[in-house]
Amino acid sequence: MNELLRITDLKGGYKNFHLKEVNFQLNKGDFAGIIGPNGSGKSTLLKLMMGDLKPTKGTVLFDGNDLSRMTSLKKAQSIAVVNQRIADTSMTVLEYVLLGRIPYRQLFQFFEQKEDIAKAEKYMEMTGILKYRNVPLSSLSGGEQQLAAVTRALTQEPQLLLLDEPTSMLDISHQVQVLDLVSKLNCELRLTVLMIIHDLNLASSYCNRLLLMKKGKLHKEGTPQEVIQYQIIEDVYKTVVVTGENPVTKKPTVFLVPHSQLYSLKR
Amino acid sequence: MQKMQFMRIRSVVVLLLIFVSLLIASVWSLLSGDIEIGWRDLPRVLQQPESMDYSVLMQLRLPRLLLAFSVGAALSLSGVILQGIYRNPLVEPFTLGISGGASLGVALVIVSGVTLSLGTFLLPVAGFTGAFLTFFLVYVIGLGKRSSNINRMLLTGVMISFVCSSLLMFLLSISTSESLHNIIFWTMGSLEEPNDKLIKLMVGGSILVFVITHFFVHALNALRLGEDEAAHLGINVLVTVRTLFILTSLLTGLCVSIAGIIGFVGLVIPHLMRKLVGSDYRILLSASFLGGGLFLIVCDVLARTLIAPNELPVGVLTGITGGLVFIFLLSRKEVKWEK
Repeated sequence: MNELLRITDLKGGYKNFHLKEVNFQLNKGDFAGIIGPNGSGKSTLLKLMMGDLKPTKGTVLFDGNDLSRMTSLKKAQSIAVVNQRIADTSMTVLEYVLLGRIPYRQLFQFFEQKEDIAKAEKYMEMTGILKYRNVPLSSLSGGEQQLAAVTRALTQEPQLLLLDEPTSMLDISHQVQVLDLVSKLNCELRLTVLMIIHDLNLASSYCNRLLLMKKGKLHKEGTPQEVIQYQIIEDVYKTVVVTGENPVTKKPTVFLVPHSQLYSLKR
Repeated sequence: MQKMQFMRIRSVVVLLLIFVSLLIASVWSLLSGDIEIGWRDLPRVLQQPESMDYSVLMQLRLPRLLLAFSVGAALSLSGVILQGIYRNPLVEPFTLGISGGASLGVALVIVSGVTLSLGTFLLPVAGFTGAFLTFFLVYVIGLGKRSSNINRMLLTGVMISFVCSSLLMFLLSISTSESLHNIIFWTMGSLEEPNDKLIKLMVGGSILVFVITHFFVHALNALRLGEDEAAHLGINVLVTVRTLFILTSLLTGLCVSIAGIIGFVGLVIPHLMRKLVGSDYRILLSASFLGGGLFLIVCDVLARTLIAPNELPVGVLTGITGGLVFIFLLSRKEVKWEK
């Protein structure tokens, strides 16, 4: 079976905001991006999926199993999450990455085994942060911290990697560095990725599928070519845009049009 | 690897140093007092069970030493656990109002004169009930459904402390002179506990909680990244936080009901230990436990000997030394909360 995640009629949220019966599925090896304006329900969807918020309706099946019935340890062995902000901690990078092995610790196992350290170092090498292993995490740049967070997630050896706006605090060079890495992991390890991302052009460049959210609903789903169309984007974001093609990647690209320049737009 | 190994070796060395200091302080505590016993006389005294020195040693000083150790260790352990849960260096049983609640519970029982057929265990039960009710209030007011709002919790704790001390004043104003004396003496903090059962309860309770908390070391380490991250690492945050909170309420209730109000141990010792051994809870818990015990033993000896033949309330001494150490730590160049 190729299907990894199936979300059916997922509903729930906060007092003043509710997600409305969202349905979608992810196949193994997908690199999917959740896009949409602020307050459209992207993070709420992730929280409902992970059980951080309790859904009022709907099911989340992971590899055929109901995610809400999985133990928190089993869940952490299957799905790893990387947040937008990395905690400010005095831990060294190696100590931080080793936390990813917590889901595999036995009850009376206080210290990590050689195997855990070997795995942490293997993934640190893969992500290019092995040279920082003894450096305090807080002394790294924002981009390097994100790489460390992805590495920590990798040491959980998950099947699905969830990223919540991993690049929103980074400059373009670090955005590319982090997403190149995720893309490499997606290809080489066949790691399924679901990422919330604000930047439509990054989403279009890296994801093979996009889920566009609008007012708590899944508005449009498909390939970047199917979703990144100016009519759809303008309707959802309520702003005028022009779409074109990235000359190198041939992926659709969104260009913003300032209101003061609207007079020169001819359609 | 080298840095990690270096940190581990350093931590083990620090733990050993604390342990050796603890042994030295224990002997010092056993030998100090009105009746001087030289350390050279110790083997001789131990071989003479009928002598007065032996009675002083075994019936007065040893129980006091055990009580000082277990109360100090328990307060420090409570502090380090609460700081771990809330990722805030200012959190400890006193700042969260748990001690205030426990003291109110104990004072209420002293003033009302109820016995509830609990005998010796009346005050510990009252202390734990007060601590637990406060915890419940702070928890309900300060916590959302899952994630904690630390500022709200701290403010709630401070307010509850105020309310408790006001109610304590009220109780003092209406109490008889005998219970007035009891409450005042007890609020100053004293390690003079004539009841063996209570000492055993304190020692047993603190060691038991120390052992149980080791089941949560990975959870505490994961919580250094925040509740959401910990949950995504497979930690059941709700169960962890609730269990640890109940355990710290239990310890604080015991400490306050048996030894009175002894402040600052839970704030200063964990802070100091973080500087010495780092923030890995696999080592920090032991360091704080032993360090807290050591600190209170030393304070108790000083309290007994500084103005001998009179005795200082140990709570006054921990307050002064603890406060000064804390100010010193804060005034140093690198003021950083080691998460």
